Amino acid sequence: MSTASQQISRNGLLWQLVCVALVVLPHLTHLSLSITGLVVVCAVWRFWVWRGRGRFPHWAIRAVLVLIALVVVLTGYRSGAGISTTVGLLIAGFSLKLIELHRRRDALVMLYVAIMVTATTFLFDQSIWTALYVIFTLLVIMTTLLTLYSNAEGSFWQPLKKAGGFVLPALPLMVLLFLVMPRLGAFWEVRLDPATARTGLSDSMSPGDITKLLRSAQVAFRVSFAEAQPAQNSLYWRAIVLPDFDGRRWYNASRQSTAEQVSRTELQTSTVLSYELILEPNQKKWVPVLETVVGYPAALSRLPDATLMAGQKQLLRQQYTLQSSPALMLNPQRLDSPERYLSLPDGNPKARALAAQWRSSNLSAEAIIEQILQRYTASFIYTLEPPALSNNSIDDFLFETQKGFCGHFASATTYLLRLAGIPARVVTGYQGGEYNPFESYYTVRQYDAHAWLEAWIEGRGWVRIDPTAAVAPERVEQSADQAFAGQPGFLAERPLSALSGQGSLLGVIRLRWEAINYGWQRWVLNYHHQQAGLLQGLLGQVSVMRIALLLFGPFALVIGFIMLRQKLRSRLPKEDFADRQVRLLSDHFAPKGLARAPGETVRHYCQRLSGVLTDLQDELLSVADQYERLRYAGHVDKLEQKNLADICRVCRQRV
Amino acid sequence: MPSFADCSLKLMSWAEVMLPTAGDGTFLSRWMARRRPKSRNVTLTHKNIFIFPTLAGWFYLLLCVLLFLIATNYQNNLIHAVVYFLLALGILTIHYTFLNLSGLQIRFIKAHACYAGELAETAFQLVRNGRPADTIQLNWRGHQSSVVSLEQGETSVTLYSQTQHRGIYRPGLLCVSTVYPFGLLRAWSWLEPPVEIYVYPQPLKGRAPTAGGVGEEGPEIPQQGGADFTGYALYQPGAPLSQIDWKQYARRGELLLKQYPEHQDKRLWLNWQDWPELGVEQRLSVICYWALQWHRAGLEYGLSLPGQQLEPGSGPLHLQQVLERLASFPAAGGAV
Repeated sequence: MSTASQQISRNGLLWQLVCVALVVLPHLTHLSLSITGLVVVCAVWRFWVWRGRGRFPHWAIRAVLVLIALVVVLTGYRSGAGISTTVGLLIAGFSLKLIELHRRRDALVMLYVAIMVTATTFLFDQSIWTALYVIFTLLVIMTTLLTLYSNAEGSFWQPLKKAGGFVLPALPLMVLLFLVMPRLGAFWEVRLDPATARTGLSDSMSPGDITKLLRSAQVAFRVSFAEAQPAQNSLYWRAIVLPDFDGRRWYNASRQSTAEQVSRTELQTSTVLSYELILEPNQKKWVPVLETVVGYPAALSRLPDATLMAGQKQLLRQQYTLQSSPALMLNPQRLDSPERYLSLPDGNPKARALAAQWRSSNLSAEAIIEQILQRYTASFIYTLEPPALSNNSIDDFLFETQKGFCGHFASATTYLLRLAGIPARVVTGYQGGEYNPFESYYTVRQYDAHAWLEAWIEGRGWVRIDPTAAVAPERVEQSADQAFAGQPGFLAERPLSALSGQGSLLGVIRLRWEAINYGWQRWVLNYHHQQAGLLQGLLGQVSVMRIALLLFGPFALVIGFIMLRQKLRSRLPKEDFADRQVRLLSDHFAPKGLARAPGETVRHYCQRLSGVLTDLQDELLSVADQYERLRYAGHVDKLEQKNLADICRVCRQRV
Repeated sequence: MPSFADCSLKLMSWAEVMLPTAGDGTFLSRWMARRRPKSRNVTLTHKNIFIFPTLAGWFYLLLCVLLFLIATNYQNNLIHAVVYFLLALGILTIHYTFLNLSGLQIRFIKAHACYAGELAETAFQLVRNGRPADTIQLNWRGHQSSVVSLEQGETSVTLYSQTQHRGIYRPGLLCVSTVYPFGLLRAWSWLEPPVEIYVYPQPLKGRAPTAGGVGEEGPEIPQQGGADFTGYALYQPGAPLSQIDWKQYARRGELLLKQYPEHQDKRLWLNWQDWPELGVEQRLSVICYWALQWHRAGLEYGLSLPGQQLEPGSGPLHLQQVLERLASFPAAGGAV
């Protein structure tokens, strides 16, 4: 192989630079500034060399740049060996390759790394736009690859057109492989970067915690119900039950799974809601469920308090198919360790006095709950910006400030109930959600986070009590964004909220777009959860043989299409006008053995003819003249074409 | 449409990549030799095209595996999609590369003779009925390659191969290959066109021939305007320009040739016997040198080799005949 063919063409190098720009662009959000600087310096330097204004850097300069890059990569990312460090290293490496890029092998290394880097874009962002962008980037990378192996020196855009022709037929096959190829489980545990961490419910709750979540419109999870849509005010997504209190903070000291199975009778006696939940990564083990969950995947376990727990922290988006039975109660007759749900630290004398009063008057549990809720309705205010509380926080809230939100109400109510001798516990989770009519699903965002409580009532079991509903019923009746609209503090981190404008045209567009996004989430990003069902529906029975057949058909179709396209391209070019006239003449004289010989010039042929057909001498010579004029003049002259056709016709008619 | 079985058969014959005549006499090499087209005009079809991934192609596959690991570990369906895109494109590239070569007609046009140690030129024409082909590489086995594209469905290409020895040179196997479009696979075909190139001996300056063949005295290079000048003859096309009397032409406007009667009598011979002290190849080289000298001087000379004789003559055609005789003279060891 000669070295000349190993050189990169000038257009090829420009494409190489375009590749670098396209590949690095989406990574700018997490790339350190120095790496970005390195890429720009190397790209500009190479461009300068391309323009003929500069030389390739001396090896010493290259060595220094490599050193700088190493130091930057190793120190710039304090988080250690996360994925963004790896990507940073790859980008630094291939931008350095850029300044010594002159042979095909260098370019090849760079392009393969570029494919790698562009694929890792999806580790940071998986939106539809990113997907389209990456497809375009891959097309450009393939174009650049083509310029390395093509010796045609055409226009700058020609390789893009050619590569497009090669890449397009691969797209339907990609979709097919995506649908059919089986997915495997993760091989080892992966770490995501803090950069991609999200806010979410924490494992404990002090009354002020939830306000942080109310500032965020991030999606917590999405749910679609199989059949009936339950009412908005019954959507209490239980995430964590918090039975222990230290005076400021509610927590769960022993959140461990027990191998408790749902009995058959449980399922038979109740109506069951089936739903599919796509949970955004929350770095926690909890999974929000409606009460009382009866069906759940094997990867999850159910706790005695009827919440679900994942085996490990959920670092990636998860999809669960769940079943809940709203009317069902787990073990309604038996309460294990009631003292846990009654124990309280010292303090809050006023609350204690109030509770003692209730106990002495021998009120029933229901009556006490009624008393508490009435107090709230009478004089309490629901606000997202409550005043600060002192050490006796319950007393302060109940008798002094009387302002707060769900966390305060749930905490104070649980406290009072325990003082009154009723076992109670705080529950945190989400309430409600936004319904999307286009795809029939609920979006539950961080600002839907909620806290309420459950009280143990003899004979009924754990009963849900939501004191917030008593103070601010709209919070439970409507979705959070409607209830809180106008409240200071709500969505404080998104001053120009895109979520406003329900019912307006903009609102409809937003809901449409979110529906598309939901479809994207469900059918593309979480496709592995749908795959088994889809294949089952398509094939009847999933077997290697049938999958192979399913693959074979479309592959054969696409390859057949490519062959056909080649065949169609191979049609002979249109015959030249003058050539056609001479051919007609030759065909006419062929029976007399006077056809034009292969490779014979037209002039020679005409001379040969006129030697035999002496009376046509003049005409035949003018045929040769006309032919040469038409064929070599470089422009088309209609009159001369007509002349030639006329003379040829005369020749044919005369003989 | 080539069947999948055909393709897999081609994939198996990877040995052809490195060693087109791997292990002469083995079943594989005999099978491959049978498949090799041996005519002057060959059309490439799935019967004689082989295809196998290049090194870059293997790295491409490795890249797919790597990305698959990342996709699986991060449970990232979009990276899965990228992997499947790359795989689908890779599979289609098998066909793209194959189609770039298939249907191509390779016609041997002509070979140019050369002196030993020079590059031998062979000209081919590549045709495919109107369908363009991109970046086709041709080379004689072991020699440098030429790269061409068929923009309009046809093109011609000249190949060069380094010659070593005098003789009749058979370049042997011609490789037509392509890695277009993405360099992931190489499709290639080994052809065996019946090409024979005369490689003349390298001219070597040596002692002048001792005997003039028929005449007794040694031959001399005629001196311009020498004393032996006997008269003029009318110019005839093909006569050496050095014999024209230009002064007469300037004076009379007539082309006249100067006559040297002794050279017509004493016909020159390049005689094998004249250099008994030299070996076969050196002797041929010296004969070649003198043939070129005398040709340039416009003399008539004959060639006498053991067992063959070429009557004296002059002109380029005669020189070619002489040189071809020299080229095809049996080597010292036996056959050429």
